[in-house]
Amino acid sequence: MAVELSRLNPSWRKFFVSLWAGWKITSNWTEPFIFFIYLLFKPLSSVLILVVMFYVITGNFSGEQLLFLYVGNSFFSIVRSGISAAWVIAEDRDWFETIKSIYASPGSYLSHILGRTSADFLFSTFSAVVLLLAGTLILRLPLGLDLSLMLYLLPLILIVTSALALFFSAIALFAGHGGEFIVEGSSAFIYLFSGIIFPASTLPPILKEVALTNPLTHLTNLFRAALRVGPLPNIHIIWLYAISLVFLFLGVFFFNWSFRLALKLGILDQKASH
Amino acid sequence: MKDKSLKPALQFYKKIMLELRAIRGRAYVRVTAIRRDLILLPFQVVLPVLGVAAYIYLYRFLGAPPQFGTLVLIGGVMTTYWLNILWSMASQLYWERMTGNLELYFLMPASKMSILLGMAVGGMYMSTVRALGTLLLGLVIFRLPIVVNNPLMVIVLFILSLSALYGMGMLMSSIFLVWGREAWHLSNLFQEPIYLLSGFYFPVKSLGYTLAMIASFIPVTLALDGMRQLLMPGGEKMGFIPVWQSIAVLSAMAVLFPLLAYYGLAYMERLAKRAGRITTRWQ
Repeated sequence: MAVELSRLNPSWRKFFVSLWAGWKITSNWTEPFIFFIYLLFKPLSSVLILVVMFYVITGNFSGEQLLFLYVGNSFFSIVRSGISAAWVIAEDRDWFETIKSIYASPGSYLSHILGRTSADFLFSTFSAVVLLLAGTLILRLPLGLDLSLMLYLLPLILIVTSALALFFSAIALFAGHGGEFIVEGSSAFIYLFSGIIFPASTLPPILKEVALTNPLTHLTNLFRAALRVGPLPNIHIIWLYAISLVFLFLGVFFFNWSFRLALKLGILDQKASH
Repeated sequence: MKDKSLKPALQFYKKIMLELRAIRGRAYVRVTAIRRDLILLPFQVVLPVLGVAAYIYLYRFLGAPPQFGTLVLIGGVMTTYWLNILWSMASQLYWERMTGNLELYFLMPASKMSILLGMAVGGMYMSTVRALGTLLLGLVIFRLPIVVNNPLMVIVLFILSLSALYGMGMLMSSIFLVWGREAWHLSNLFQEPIYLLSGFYFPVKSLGYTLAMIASFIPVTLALDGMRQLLMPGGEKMGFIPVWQSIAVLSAMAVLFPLLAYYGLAYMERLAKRAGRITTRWQ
């Protein structure tokens, strides 16, 4: 049963076309095998940095702390796809110069951002799955799977990732050449305040409160619980859905406002190169 | 007779001035950019400190001694330079092609090496502003232990490190010239794997002798190793090779990489012209 795109609402049509374009742009620059290696190399290196840091201090490759940071980092590799949406603006505006055409075509530009983010989300989820499998098979990490909890969690992670994508692509509309700094800087913020590689309790009191208020901290812990690492966090998943949806609506509002402002200021297709 | 003897000297002077103007012109854009793109400043200066903080807290979580914080901070500072090498040196000629500037570089009378040198000088300035911000914020917030017993050696090592690093950036830039979208993906790929291989957040000697030796072909590995030995309390125990050896290797790299960049650029230019890709966009 093939889906006929022309029958869909223009925004949905744009979403699916952007999803497909995202897949093509990310994957068709090389051979499938090299692309597969590429897909794994970055997250694998990122987790190996942590494994080596752990080894330098503890002198071994096992322990609850390793399990904690390994799973947290795998989760982060998925969420990071939302922050990477800042690159979509750089691509559309600076390199491919398609931002005006995409804006002028039927459907909102926001659908395009969400489509491109969803493609990245799929790639990142695949990388995270391979990382977790490698952790189980190579490092012998005792991971399990609470399938029902994971199935509840995946849409939630997609919602949060989409919200992040809207926030960061909105910021990128006003920044010139420098997508790498938006991605790196914002990743650092999430890395520090979301209990990704260490528990929020490690932070000083004020920062700890920031981390505990951050829904991503609870989402990270839920992800760990779904893989049978640590206890279930003391927050109901329905609450997390509610908070994440509010966050998504704020993201939609902020993106639309920023987009209108960029149009008004005449900087939507600005090109800055240095 | 007098005029004839002066002519080559005058021409040489004019040529040097032309190249210097090209270097200044290319560097100027970057020097100015840092105050024109103010929205990026928090992302460039403040937020990278948070990345450093995350690794410092991870070491605290693992029960590491306080000097590991200094180790991470030095890694965080050098990250700024490495990102600049990847995104504003190596892939720069690719961006220039995409924005249509590359044709202008080929048409202008100055050498393309002057353009690369101008990019490097401007890039060093931009990165140093960012790196200083990260360093000062990191030192003030975390009160990390730092010792400067031999300031002259620190300065020599730092200058040589930057020269070797940007020389490598110039070489990469010439290699990236023939690539299309691969350039972006390769820059992306050279981030975390190099953070891992060069020991940005841990002593490189923990990777073992063979891997650390391979990693030493990347100047940032020796720069990090040397600076940690000179600036960290007890840093010499974590060192992979003695600092004077790092200085010797980095000096050789600082000469070799720009030289290779010169020949590489000429070769890649010919290759790109032959393949008809020198001005091709969006491939």
